[in-house]
Amino acid sequence: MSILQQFITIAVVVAATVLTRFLPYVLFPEGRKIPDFILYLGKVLAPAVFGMLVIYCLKNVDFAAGAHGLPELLSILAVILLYLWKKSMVVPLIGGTALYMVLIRVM
Amino acid sequence: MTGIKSDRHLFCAGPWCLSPPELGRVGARVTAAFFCGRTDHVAAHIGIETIFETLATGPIYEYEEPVLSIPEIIQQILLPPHSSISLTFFTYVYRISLISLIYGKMRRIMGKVPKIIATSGKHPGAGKALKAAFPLTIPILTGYLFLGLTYGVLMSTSGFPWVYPMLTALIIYTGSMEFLLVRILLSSFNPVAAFATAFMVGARHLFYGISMLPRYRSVGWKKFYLIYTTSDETFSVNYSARIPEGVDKGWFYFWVSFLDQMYWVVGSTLGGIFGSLITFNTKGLDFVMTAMFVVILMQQWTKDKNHVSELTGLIGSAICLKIFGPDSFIIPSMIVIFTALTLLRCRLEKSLKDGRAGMADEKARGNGGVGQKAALRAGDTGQTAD
Repeated sequence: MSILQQFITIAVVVAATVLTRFLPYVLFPEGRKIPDFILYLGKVLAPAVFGMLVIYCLKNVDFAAGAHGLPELLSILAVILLYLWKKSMVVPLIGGTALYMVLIRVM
Repeated sequence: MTGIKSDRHLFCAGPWCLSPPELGRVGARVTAAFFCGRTDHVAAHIGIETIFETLATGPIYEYEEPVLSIPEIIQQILLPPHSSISLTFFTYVYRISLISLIYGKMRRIMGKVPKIIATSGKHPGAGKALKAAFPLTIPILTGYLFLGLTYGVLMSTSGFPWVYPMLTALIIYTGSMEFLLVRILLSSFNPVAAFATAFMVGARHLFYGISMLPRYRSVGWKKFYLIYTTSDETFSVNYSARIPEGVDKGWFYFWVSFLDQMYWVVGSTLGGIFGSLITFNTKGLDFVMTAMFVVILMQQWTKDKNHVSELTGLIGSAICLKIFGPDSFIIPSMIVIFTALTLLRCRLEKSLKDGRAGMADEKARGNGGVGQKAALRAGDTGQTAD
């Protein structure tokens, strides 16, 4: 691609990303009251989205072949247990990631 | 960035390297001194030197002095090549200490910034907000630095100058889209497909916007920047953050977003500059992002009495992943989640309002399935949401 074409492609991607980010705020501007349905969605969507993001991080894991996704599952279990034990963000993160880095080299 | 890269072996301890002939000569001198006691016995000297040289170099070959460019010299100093297990271990210890030093220095510098801002007087409350916000961004610091490095290296090895990752980090700032962008820029020119892909990949930002609608109110001019730099991690932190007393909400959100973007920009730029020079084996380090999302999910889980929402997200996405494959399951997942939560609105809203224990609800619904199925199951077990 020429420089101009690259420029256009990037501009188009920026436009799409900006659209996805700003659309809710454009549809429900600050002055007016937010509809109840949207408020309800705001409360319940977020936890569901977190669940979706966890699945999104695991989307390329092949559970059928190779290590059968065991490093990921064991590391996530470690993260959960460490969180329930320590209730902080840093300890489960480091512990889980360290375990994962070891497991993928070992399994 | 050229230099004659011969198939040479260098024996290195830290930044000091010896070529095989040099090593041979040094070894010969040491051994001669040890065994012969005198270093002036010429024959023994020559013999031992030859033996050492042969052992050190293998078959005799032409060793050519390479012309190193400046990046390669820096590489040799920072990331020396190695050729034995003990030296490998040493170089890894060396690299890790170097990186920890830099990391520690960065954190110390970051710690000083709030004081500077607080005493500048122009924006009161900003320093206090920074102090409160920074600790929350530390996991993102690690994750984004390494993920950004990966992205920058990818861009660099695909032939783009370092300005590209820096610019895209500043103006696009969506990790997954930027990775896809590399592939898009290398294929044929198709702006419509690029727009569609970017919209689908960024569609989850719609949900983030809806969730942050009430929180991003009355923050003034910062609102534009806050919305512009909404990313998965920034949203997760901002949404679940409990802002401490006396801290300005607008500045808090601003600092989280700003710091996150800076980590990403720095990571991408460094990756773009150093490109293929980075030989640190960091395979698996990007698991820190997965771990972060799991922790955030757990935080939400322990906060909620009613886990229907999380389970809907998990199960709905998992099913869509199975059906639609990893590349196009986000949009169906969002549709499923949206539909399920809309259908479950009546039951969920009630339990949200009076905060009843949701465990009974959860049991009644089985696994928080989708719409009608959940209602049926509730009917079967004879329990109702009320």
